[in-house]
Amino acid sequence: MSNFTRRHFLGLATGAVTASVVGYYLFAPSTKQKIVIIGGGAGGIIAAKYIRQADSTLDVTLIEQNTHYYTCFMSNEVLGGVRTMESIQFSYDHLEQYGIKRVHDKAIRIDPIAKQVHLQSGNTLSYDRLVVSPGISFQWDAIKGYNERVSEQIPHAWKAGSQTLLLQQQLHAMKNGGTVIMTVPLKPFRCPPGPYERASQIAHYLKRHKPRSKILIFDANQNFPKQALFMEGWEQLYGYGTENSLIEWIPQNQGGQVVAIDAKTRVIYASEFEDKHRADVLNVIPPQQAGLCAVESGLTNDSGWCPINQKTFESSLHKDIHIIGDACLAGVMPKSAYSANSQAKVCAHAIISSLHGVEMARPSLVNTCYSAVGEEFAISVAAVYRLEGDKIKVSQNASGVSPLNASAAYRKNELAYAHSWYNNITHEMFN
Amino acid sequence: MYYQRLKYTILFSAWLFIQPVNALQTQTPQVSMLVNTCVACHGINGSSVGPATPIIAGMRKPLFLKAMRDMKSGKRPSTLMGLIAKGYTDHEFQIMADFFTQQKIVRYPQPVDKEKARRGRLLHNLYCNGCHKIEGPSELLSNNLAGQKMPYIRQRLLEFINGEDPTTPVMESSLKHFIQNNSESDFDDLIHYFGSHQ
Repeated sequence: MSNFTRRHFLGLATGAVTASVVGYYLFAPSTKQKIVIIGGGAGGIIAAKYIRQADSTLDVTLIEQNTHYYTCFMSNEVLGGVRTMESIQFSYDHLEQYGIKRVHDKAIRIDPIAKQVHLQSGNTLSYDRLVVSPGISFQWDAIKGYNERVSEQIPHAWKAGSQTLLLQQQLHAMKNGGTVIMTVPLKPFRCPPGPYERASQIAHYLKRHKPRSKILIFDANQNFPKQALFMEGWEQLYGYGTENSLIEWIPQNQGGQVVAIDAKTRVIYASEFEDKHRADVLNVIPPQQAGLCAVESGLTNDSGWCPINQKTFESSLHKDIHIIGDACLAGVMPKSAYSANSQAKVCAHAIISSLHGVEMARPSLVNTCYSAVGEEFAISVAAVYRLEGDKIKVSQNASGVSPLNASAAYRKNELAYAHSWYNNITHEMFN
Repeated sequence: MYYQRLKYTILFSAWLFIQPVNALQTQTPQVSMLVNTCVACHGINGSSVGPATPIIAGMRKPLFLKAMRDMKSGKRPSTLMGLIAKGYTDHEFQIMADFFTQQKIVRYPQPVDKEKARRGRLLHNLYCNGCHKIEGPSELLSNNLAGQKMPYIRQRLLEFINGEDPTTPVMESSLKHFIQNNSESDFDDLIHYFGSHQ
């Protein structure tokens, strides 16, 4: 009798366990949770990877309009002749191995009530959670005479790819002794030290190929990040401060703010007096705002950028939509690729935690911006961030820049580290 | 016999149940939050692609802690790592150390001169192998040099040679001995040897 009972019990136990295991897989939510990510850049790719790797039952789709990605970061070295266009070009094919679906289309508008993304092709994508990492768009009406159509002749090259190539070609075609003019908008904009790194790299190119030329920076700002460091580099490398300087910087109070341009003659009009300056190569960096689909879907505030919950990166304006990277207002974090990478990981974790009904870990973020000033010379700014109350702030005063008057070895090492950063961050994005 | 079968049935079923959430539990969120920010310079799981930012995967825990503490205090020179280290507590260093020490090292190719590496191997056996065993199990407190980034090794050795890093007297005295008996070219050979390990 006891033998029969034990065997019977075993049979029942095995059957029950098997039935419940099979049942779990059969009757588990048949609609997988759909995560959609807009933007295959420094933020979007990382968000997609980290979400999908944390929970492979999730349906993860990345919307990206371009077939290839050109990194805007380090694109200045292409202008400097230090690296090639190919070296900043990457493909998205590797995403397949992670089970991340890719939609090659443009996100036009988000419907936060219906929880749908409308694409340029006319298709729509439904989402349970949406990550918006659209980068920037330009305020085309801010500078008279400059708009999207004009930018095809007068590049901004503030989104990399064909714009970078156009500016490079114009620099190569310029005569020795020509004048390059670069205009810088009022902060905030994508990549705070970027324009000054670009001026440095262009000066590097001019020094080697067209040494009687000059680059003039017309700046709507009164100062810029790592300013003393850049100027130390410019003094050492490009004759800054002498009459043979390859670089001139015109700040706001000396008439640096460009108000209008004439595309046909490549003339800029600067300051309230509309001083005329003619360029042989004109690079206009227009004022910026969040990527268009964010602007057009009610995700931005008066500043033109997206307010968010700084712990979860969820939009302050619409539920279940998270915004990361350049487009969002992330406390004191600058708009950079490293920031986007760091924010994407925190955001991914916040979404996963929310879906699984668990408390998320305390956010911890980092930014490091390297600027390649020239030959064997780079500088950096770095900071560690954490959440204090509801705002992202610097952690334990861990924020600073490279030292002034550092040795040549120090500057050379920082350039090697800059390239190492570039290789590692793109390796994480594209492998 | 029956109890054994029952035990295995229950264990198997339990294993089946935990499959979907396995990925979440291999690394706690608190750990991930701290170490995720290191990838952009030090590579996925601490294996840097290079050319210069060092591999921190597989680092011995006491050495990781020493590195972070000494850079945070400024006793050990660094470019921005000292600044980054300031952003974390000692407890957070422990969490990071525990994570990185477990990571498998991935060594990406470096521009190594095979002839130099061959000569460097002899120098390593004479001067470094006592503490930095490469062909056998390492001594507990010595840093892994095999396949480490060459510019990083060069920088660290120069810091010891030039008296810029007072945190590791044994390295200063070992290198003094090396420099007395060898040339700059020999120094280069040694670095190529370490970089040659794949």
